[in-house]
Amino acid sequence: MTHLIRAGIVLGVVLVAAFIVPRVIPVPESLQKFGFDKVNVVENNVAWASHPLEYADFEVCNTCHATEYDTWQLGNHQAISCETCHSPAYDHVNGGPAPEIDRSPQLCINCHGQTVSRPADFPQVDPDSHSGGLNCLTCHNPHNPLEFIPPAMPHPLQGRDNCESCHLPTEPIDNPPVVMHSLEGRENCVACHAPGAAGAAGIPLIPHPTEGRENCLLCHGSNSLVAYPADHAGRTADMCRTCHRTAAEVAALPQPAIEPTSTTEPVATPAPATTATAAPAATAATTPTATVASGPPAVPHSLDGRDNCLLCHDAGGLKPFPADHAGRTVDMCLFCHKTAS
Amino acid sequence: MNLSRRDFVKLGAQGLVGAVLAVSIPSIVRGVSGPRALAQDLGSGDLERHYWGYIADNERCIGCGRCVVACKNENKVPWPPEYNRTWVERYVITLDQQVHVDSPNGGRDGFYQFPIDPSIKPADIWKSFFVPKLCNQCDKPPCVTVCPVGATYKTDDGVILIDQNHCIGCRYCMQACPYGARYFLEEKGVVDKCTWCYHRITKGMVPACVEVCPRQARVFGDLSDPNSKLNRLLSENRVFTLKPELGTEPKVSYIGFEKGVF
Repeated sequence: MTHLIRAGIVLGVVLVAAFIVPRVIPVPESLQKFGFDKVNVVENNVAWASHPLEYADFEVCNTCHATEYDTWQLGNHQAISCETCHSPAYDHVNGGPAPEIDRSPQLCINCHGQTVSRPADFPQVDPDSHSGGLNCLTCHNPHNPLEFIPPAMPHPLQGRDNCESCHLPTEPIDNPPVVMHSLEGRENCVACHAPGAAGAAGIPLIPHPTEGRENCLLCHGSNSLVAYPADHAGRTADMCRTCHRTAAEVAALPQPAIEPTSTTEPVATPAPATTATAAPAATAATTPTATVASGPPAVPHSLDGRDNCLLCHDAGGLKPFPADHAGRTVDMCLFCHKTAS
Repeated sequence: MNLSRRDFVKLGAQGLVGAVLAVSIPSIVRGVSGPRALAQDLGSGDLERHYWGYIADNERCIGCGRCVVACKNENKVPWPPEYNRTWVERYVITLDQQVHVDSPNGGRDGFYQFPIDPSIKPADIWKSFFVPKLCNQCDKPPCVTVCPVGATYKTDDGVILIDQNHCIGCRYCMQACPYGARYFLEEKGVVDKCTWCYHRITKGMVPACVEVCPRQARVFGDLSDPNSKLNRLLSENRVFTLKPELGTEPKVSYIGFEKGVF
């Protein structure tokens, strides 16, 4: 009996060995690597982890492009990585050529084109009506999109088809605002400076009633609680209301249709004198009274090309005449108000 | 030499067992300790310290499609819109609670030039938003379960990877994935999928889609780090995952309107 058990054990050992020995000894290494079951996890992890990089990290851009980096950090695009708009730059960081830059409006529109699916608080525009066909970069610095944005017109366009009669690059006064740039190739002011209500262009509205508060500088002087911005230095109390209005006043302004014009020659279109009398007294009543004491104020600017005083000084205009002037026509102004020269 | 028959058999059996053991020991040892030892070779060498997670914020996404472009650039995903590791979907829910979903070119070229289906009247639109999609890197990945050759697996840091040298291109995983996150890469004859830019996250960077997102609608981070931005957002917001009823336990969480989003 025992010899049968022994033979059985031997047979078992031989059978097991017949499976294990060929599995271990003659199977080539490459077959073992791919295996009969699982992949080599670690080796594959390493393979994926050593995939070449395309996008670098935005922090590294600061090393060389500090100027652009600083501008970018101040603007509303500060949360956007450089390579979102510039192309992937890992090669460039390591000495390669600079990535191609897409300057087409399409890139801007991808984010800022108006569609109902975007979050409502995200700035969106209708490209056709917003830019009038101009490239976005004409007005916007993509690193800081609201930097140097052309201010919108704080007054309606009504009858004012020659911007340069008031706004000249050379005029040494700042009210009306001087043109900060050359006029070459920029005949169409309205293309950039869209006419609109005061306050629409970032000129802050007056958030409180103005009754009994004629002197803005009492609260908004340079040393006051709510001081005016540093670049307003030197402006006097009678200038504030030229640009800053209350919400009610803005609502009362006429809203003309946008009529882009490229007229450059001086045009004096006399406004009908009757419109002056019909204008509401609301704005006129708040006209500063500080200047009344010393007689009719002199005209602080030259009169070249400015035949029609009422374009600016009409009631409801940029700098309206006092309420007691109602009914005076354009030919009367210069009887009392002389130029400084 | 005069061996008895019994001694011969005895000696032979012992020799055979000894030889088999001697040859097998190296591979047995390697099989037990191999992956752990080799893990040290991988760059950071700290695979087990991270457990990655991801948030897609539907309330912030503006559908610009820069993530799709970045993914294609970074991972050499073919440019045609049929191939995507990540893509963006536009949801339009009408007043009668019908959900309309489209994704022109996978969102690669943005959505502005692809207006909403004109059969949907603007006045009928109740809600509309964008939903970024990518591999959910499930904790219980059905794609891994079904792979007949074991070519896809979950790493220790929670990313589902494919060994494309091992993949036989049967596409069974594409069928199994409830999120449509895998695609067939014809040029190699294998399946490809989002790796959360494994080459970037193992170097301490964020995936390319997260890097370029202009609205921080995509957030990547470490679930095992209680101080990560990811965990802060997860605790501060009401989040949901896609198709939770399937029990796949996705590691991509969504912020935003939930009903009808799948």
